[in-house]
Amino acid sequence: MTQAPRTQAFRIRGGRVYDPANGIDGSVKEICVEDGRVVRECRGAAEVIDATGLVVMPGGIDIHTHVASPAVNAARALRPEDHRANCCPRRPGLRSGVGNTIPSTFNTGYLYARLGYTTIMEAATPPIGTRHTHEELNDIPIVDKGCYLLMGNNEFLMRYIKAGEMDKLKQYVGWLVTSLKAYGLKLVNPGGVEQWKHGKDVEGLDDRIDHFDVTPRQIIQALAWANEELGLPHSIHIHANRLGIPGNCGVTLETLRALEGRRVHLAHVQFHSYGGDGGWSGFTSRAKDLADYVNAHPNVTVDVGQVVFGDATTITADGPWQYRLHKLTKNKWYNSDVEIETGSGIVPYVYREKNFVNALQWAIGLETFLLIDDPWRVYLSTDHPNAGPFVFYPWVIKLLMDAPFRAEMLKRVHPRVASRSLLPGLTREYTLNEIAIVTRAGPARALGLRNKGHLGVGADADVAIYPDARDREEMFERPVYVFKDGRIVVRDGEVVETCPGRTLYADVPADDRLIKEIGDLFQAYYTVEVENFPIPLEDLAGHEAIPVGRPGARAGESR
Amino acid sequence: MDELVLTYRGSGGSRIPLEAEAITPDNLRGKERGGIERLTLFHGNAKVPLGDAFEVKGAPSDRLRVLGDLALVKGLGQGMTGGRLVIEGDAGMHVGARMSGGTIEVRGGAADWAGAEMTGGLIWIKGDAGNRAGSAYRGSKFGMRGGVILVEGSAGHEVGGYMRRGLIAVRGDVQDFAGARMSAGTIFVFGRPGIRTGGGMKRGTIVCYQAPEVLPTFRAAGSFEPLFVTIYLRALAARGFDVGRFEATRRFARYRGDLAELGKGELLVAQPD
Amino acid sequence: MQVTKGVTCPFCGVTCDDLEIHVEDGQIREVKNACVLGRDTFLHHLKGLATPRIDGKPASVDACIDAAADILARARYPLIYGLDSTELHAQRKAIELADLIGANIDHTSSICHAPSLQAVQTVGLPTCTMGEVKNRADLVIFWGCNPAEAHPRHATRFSVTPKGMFTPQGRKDRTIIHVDVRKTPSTRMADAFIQIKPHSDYEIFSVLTALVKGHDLDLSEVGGVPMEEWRRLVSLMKDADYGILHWGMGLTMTRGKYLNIVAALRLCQELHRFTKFQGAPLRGHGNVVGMAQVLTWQTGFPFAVNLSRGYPRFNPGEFSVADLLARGEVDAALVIGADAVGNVPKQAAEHIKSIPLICVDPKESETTRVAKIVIPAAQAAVAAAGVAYRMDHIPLPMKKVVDSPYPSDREILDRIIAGVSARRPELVRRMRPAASAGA
Repeated sequence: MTQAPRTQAFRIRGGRVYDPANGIDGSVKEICVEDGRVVRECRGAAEVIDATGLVVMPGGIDIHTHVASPAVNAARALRPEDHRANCCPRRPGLRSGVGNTIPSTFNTGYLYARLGYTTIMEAATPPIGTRHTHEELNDIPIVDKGCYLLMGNNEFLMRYIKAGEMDKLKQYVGWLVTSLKAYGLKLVNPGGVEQWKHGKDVEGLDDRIDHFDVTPRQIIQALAWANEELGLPHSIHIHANRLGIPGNCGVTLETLRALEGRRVHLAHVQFHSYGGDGGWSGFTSRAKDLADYVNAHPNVTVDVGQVVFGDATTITADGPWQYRLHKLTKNKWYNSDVEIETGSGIVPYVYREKNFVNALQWAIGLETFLLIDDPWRVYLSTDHPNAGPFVFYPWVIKLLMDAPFRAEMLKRVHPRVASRSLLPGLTREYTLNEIAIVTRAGPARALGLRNKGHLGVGADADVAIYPDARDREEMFERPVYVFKDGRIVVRDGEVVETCPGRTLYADVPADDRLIKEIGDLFQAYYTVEVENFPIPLEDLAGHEAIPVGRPGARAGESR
Repeated sequence: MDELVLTYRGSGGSRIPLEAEAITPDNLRGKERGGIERLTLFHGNAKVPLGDAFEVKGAPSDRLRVLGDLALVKGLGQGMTGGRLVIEGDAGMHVGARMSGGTIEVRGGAADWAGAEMTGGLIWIKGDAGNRAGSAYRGSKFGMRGGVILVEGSAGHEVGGYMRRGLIAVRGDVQDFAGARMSAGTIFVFGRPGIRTGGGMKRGTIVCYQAPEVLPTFRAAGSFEPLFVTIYLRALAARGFDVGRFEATRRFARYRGDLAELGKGELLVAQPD
Repeated sequence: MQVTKGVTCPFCGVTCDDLEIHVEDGQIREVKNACVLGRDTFLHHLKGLATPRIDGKPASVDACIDAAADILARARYPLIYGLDSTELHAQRKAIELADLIGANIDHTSSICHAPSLQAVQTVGLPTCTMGEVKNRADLVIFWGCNPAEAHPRHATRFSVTPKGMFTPQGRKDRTIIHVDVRKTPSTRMADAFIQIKPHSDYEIFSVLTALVKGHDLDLSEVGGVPMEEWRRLVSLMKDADYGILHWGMGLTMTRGKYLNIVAALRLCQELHRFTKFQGAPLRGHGNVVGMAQVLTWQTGFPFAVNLSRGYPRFNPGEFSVADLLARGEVDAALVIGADAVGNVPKQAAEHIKSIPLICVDPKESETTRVAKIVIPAAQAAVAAAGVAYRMDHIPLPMKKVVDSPYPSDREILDRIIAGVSARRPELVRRMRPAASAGA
């Protein structure tokens, strides 16, 4: 791990601390930080931060966002009009950039830090493009970051599954994670993106994929198995088949059932909770069915993918879905099929309050939050920028904490939503403790990040201090202080110091037993040299190896 | 009538453009001279107080007149919402871009992107317009969404490209791709049209008084006497845009296209008797 | 003899990463696996090296850097240009410098494939990486491009002969069509050649798209080619399992420019009613794609970026190099790893010669010959390591195979940034984090 330079010591005094992982629910407690960590007490002279009347939380953790990858950059290049809407001037020591739905890299780091977020996970990177992803991540300042490798349509993987060569499959996956300094494994429309290379998609878990003759179910189960065999800190992370299609909840539940007993994280679950018969007129919510399943199955974690009205850019590996969205919206459409591995699709989109489908999607996200009982297993995301930009997380928090505000929004959106959604009857309001869980402690646990998401002794000194404003959106949009590794990086909502942040990667031990065979496969089917594939550690601006090896670890397990 | 007059002091030989979006009637209205002189203009990476670049005279007003050799002055009237701006001479790029109301009169020519992405108001160019008048900036789905652009001279490429609504009338010639990929709106070309007029049209209307080279993906659809043309010409004439001699031509051949796209646009070509 | 394998070639957008370089006594003796363009790039690494000078007189590299910083610190509307023959880290530094001094920053895409990039911004792009062409493409159309001469190994590595997963018979599994205004060496690679009238591409693509959409067109020919032949081509395209259209300067440089490519891309998109059909430009100029990539992620825009106002703006025609220079707007220029004077239109070249011009390049060029300050650099991919991008946006590592007495582009730019920062401390003075009182 690259060490942060010796930092100042601080004593954060008088604030109400929300540290759910350590059972602290709003009590006034002093937090001491020194040398980048939370400490019991400071050895040296410490600066006192008067946090009286303020709320102290661990720094935010975004478990699923699209901020750095070949597809994200293709989206930036595709949408100059998006950037014109929001230009961010340079300041001494800080770089200029653009904002809106696909911020430039420096601005991404600043914007996250200004919300009090200190760790983000790039949710999808194709192996052959991961060098790019890391270079972009290097240019996202302040926050720590990691990336998930797209594996659900990997052709070499499918060959190993078909041949039943599970040991080799494990070695191949391990080699990819190690070589590419990845954090975890991502599946997007498993099997469907491979079918898209024939202009098709999959409809169910048992469809046979052309040529490779395996099924989505087999891919999901094989990767879940490999994930646990390798002891990766996070479970597999799945964007299920049939995203966005009315009636898809059945496939979503079947995906979860295929993994009963194994831990699994289901991404942007709002997009996968639809009822109806395939057409838009019958579009309904099945968030309750999904929530019921999650409530009954402690092995499952989800992030919501909450819709935010306004501009969005859909960026996903789910190629066939993006073609559908292009046909639906007639908006410009980018697609890239990636050899051996996956694909990507990009379509600009606008979510409108008065559009019935968008308004119901918005309601479904909120239903999901409100119907899942255990906040430790449901996390805040907007699948940025697919359902909306991450800068609106404070607005989502307000919707969760403020039932009257939610009711007002419900009156503004398309009138039919009230009768098609359970939302009017859901009066639950999230507490600050629960917000701290769904934005910090919960994601840290699901990610296996033992030194993050909490403020116990030994934790990384990533701390966010918010004003205790009655308007919860205002509160979370403008932290009074944000600490990263024990240094003040944000003050009164503005960035005052920058640092590179660390790239977190799963410390899978190198295993080159399969390298000859992988090399032959590269020679036959790829167009790059296998020796140029791995990324050396020194190419990461900052880095930290996260230990592996807790096979069978389940979400919800106490530390 | 009260009027504010800004006289450009000249560029002092520099060819670096002056970016002057601060100069709009609504921005200057209600400000005293000192306040106006302190407004910020941009010259490369330097900030220039408006008073350094322009002599300010007259009374505070939302009628604004700008004099001088303004060919290198960009953004005059950009984003304005009301009032009247008269430019005595040529204007640089982006004149009246994104405006939503008010009137701009350019008594010379205008450089590229005049009225780009405007949503309302009127721009009247006495001389020639550059490229992409009333068009979109890169990547935008739509260009002009409302308002009127009148050009007495000629215009360049992609006049009214990506148009969504509004009216453009050019008394002179236009170059290639007038109405490129337009979704709706109306463009009148009284002079010679360039090639590929209406290329990629979805909907909208382009009226040509001289025969264009019709793209092979436009289908001949008879001829007729559209009443709306007469109404538009009279409205233009009433504003003082002299197209009276074209009123006699009533019959137009109609072409539907672009069949490579949605193809519900129409190209109307005058059929003089 | 030192042998390095898996070396990445910097010359064209095929960015072969399988070169084998043999070095002895600091000189490259042999190059394996490269085409003639790549081989010459490496074998001639010591030919025509630039020397450091100010106003034509020899000077130390330090003095040159200092003089460059002096010019750039004071310029009001400077231009930073080139960067296609450098690598990622140097490109980063150039953007950092542009951000610092509020410059225009542009690169070779602007005078080459800008129309392609603009077309993508208008309608999008259905595309794939080159391995999909190798593995799947059964119909490859080269339109207005000459890969046989400009991208010699494209055909053998990706598009014509290689045996791939669904193309086990290689050449026999593919149909290659060449469409152009005249025959070129690339025609020899093709099964069929369609000769079209110059400047008719837009009409042809429009017609093909209308046919794909099922329209009946009452035409006998378009582009000088009978409709019967176009209908056959449309059938071929619809019946392909995986088609791809590659294009080059034949589309970007002819009348219509980006709208030619819009029309081509709309055809590829509409063909998705029937099959997979991709489009991919044949990018040249070394690492031009890499510069577009990093400029996009750092500023949001792929070329023709202006930072004068303190934030990025993009507007080809306003901030693009050819236009900035032709209008004589720029008051100082830093050209890195590109021959600006040799490549831009004449009027633009005249202007750039008339302003303080700093040129950073490993080799002498038309630009170094007229520059006020010449700073030699270690040649990227030869004497300096880094990262470059292939034409399909795949990043690849560049190795250092020989030494150079001169610093890398990255280092030179870093030192210029330091020089400018020293002269303009107000640009870099940092805010101190405010904390509450007491200890």
